[in-house]
Amino acid sequence: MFKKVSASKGKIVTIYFEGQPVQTEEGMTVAAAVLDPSHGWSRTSHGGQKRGPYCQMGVCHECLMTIDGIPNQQACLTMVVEGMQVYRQDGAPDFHKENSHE
Amino acid sequence: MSSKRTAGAVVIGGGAVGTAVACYLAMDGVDVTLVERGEFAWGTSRRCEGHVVTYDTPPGDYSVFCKTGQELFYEAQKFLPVDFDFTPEGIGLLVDDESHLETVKANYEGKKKEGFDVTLWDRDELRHREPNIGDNVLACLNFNNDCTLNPMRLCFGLAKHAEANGATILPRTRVTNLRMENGRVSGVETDKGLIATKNVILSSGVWTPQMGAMLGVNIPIRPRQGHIIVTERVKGLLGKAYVEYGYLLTKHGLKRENVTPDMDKFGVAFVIEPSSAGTVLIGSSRRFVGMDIRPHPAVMRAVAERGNQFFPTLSDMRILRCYAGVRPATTDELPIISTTHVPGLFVGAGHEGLGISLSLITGKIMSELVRGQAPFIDTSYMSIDRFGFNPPALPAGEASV
Ligand SMILES: Cc1cc2nc3c(=O)[nH]c(=O)nc-3n(C[C@H](O)[C@H](O)[C@H](O)COP(=O)(O)OP(=O)(O)OC[C@H]3O[C@@H](n4cnc5c(N)ncnc54)[C@H](O)[C@@H]3O)c2cc1C
Ligand code: FES
Repeated sequence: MFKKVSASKGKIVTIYFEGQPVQTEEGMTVAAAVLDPSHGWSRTSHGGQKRGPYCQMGVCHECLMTIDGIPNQQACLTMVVEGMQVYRQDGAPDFHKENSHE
Repeated sequence: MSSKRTAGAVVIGGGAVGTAVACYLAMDGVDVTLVERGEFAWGTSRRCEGHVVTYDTPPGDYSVFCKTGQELFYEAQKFLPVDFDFTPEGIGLLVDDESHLETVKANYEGKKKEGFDVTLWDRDELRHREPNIGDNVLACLNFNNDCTLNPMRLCFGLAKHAEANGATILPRTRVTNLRMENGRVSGVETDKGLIATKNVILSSGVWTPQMGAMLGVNIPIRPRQGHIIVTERVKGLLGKAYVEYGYLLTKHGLKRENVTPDMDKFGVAFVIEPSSAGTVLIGSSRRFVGMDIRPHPAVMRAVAERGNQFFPTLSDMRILRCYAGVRPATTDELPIISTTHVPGLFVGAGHEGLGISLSLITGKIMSELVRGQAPFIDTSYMSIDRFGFNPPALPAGEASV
């Protein structure tokens, strides 16, 4: 569905996707990195279906991921940064007081 | 629809009330046609929260009416063909002002006498149940049979069930005029043709006065705007739906302490409902600004601030979207469920903030009225006659959408 239009120009950075190092380019969004066929999806819906980045412009909220420990981040609006930790979201994040990040 | 149609009764409006009226009429064997200018649900019923409640009526006839209306949802849940996210987990009324405690306790005793399943949590119990609750909240009065649902799915379910019972369902059909012959209703003109009928039920929400005017009947209903904020999906924020006690005060236009001038000006009172999808709906406001349904940033801010006072964790959450709707309001907070001075013309509208809660009971009673039976529960005080014979119409408001 999505295709990269230009040849690589940026500096190579490494982010961690589900704990595994992934090489990508500076200037890419996290969503673009995740769209790589080997990763594919970003979160599950409340019915458990897999969802992936869709609108790429901050509207659909299909790309929510946990980025550097903060849940519900829109991966399509977040630029990759060297060493970034990105996790898929299985369901909704827990806001129960004991677990909340304060 | 090109050829001429006929129907035993025509219901105008495909919101919660109209679909319920059509559903009960069909179940009672009436040849009914439901017309909706848009889809189901096109008006206020898709711009609200889905609380089915008894918390907001003081003990008395109307309170018992609301309770009876609520029981119908427990039945409907079994026969409607659509899962409408029915969540019978109770709703809590939160008290954050010392001076309200007495009234709330009296309310508790009164409701108990009427056979309601109510429980009172003190501060400690509330904190134990809801760890995210704000420090300022003092007590919670639980209405254990109150429930929440998805209003759009409810409308779909009612329309489908009406159809299964023989009703004709006409979406995308706009009523353009009503006809009278020999002093009684004779037909409904639509943009898709005429429907000949001797009975017309107006359940067109805030648009009901327009319908009545077509036959010279004044219906005193005006739009009262309300805002809802939808958050991102989370879990563990709260266990069920809550409302603040101040909601009852804003509804009746009374002054409150503990609120900012904006909250006061916009009639903001805290309402929260966890949805089955994980998002959380936060409301709400009350003001008369005509038919305007554009969300206003200042109102949203006041709603969000009020929310943070009850669940401070909300300030860590992101907002996905906001919407506003216009409640069909009468001047005395009671709906109009009534015949009119025009034979064959009936009104089931003006439910303000209770249109979802009272949709089924309105449908049931309307079917009885149309079939010439006495309602199974007293509704005389909901007659349009309480406003006087053909009362003056209320000002519609400024903007029109
Ligand atoms: C913010 C907010 C929160 C709320 N929360 C709750 C709650 O928690 N619980 C509760 O019980 N209630 C709640 N309400 C109130 C509730 O939403 C309304 O009372 C209810 O939706 C009214 O339903 P209705 O069927 O009378 O009107 P509507 O849903 O407005 O239906 C009227 C229909 O008539 C149609 N129509 C109009 N003109 C024509 C025409 N010419 N031809 C054909 N069709 C026409 C419209 O398209 C519309 O679909 C809330 C309301 C708001 C705004
Ligand atoms: S892809 Fe739509 S919001 Fe990110």
